[in-house]
Amino acid sequence: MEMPKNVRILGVLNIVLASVGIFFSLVGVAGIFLMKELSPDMGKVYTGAVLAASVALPMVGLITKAMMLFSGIGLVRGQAFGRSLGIIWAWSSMFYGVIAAAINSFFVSPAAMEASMNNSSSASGGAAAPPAWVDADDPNQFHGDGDGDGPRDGAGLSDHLPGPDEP
Amino acid sequence: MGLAMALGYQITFLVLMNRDEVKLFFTARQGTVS
Repeated sequence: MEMPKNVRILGVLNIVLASVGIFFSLVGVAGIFLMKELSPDMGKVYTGAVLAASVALPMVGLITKAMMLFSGIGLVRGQAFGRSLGIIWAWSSMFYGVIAAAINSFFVSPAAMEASMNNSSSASGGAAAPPAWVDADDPNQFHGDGDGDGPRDGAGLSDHLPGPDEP
Repeated sequence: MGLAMALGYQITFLVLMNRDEVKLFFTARQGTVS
């Protein structure tokens, strides 16, 4: 009996989408740890429960994506397990998708936002500090006499220009 | 958006997998294997 066209199409789609999903899940989790390593300030957002949820959710997602991949392989090869595994994958993936979206929107995102707000206000001490090169004791630092040769030196702009009677 | 697309794909998958021709194909394949 010839394989129905939609079985082959869904099999190929399952293999491609699962591969892409597995790749991006791993890249996403690796990105969190890389960010913690490279930018400790931003990495502070990912601590405790936020970090646990941000790592655990993609890891559970990997299980459903592995099911998707194997069901795709089964479907392309015309094996019955591809269909039954695919049906299990579809139901569990729908369930997981809704639960993961709820956890992300009601727990992870608000907690990350709060952590990021606390982080930015404590990093600057609550108010923006002047850059290190600003000398607070030098009143003339930003008040030159306009001739472009630095702070007030007694010589104004007109002292540098030739007068009307000079050659 | 992503969730809606995923749900759409999963529902489509379930609907197509429950078509008679698909069920018949896999039943026939299982029959020849066992």
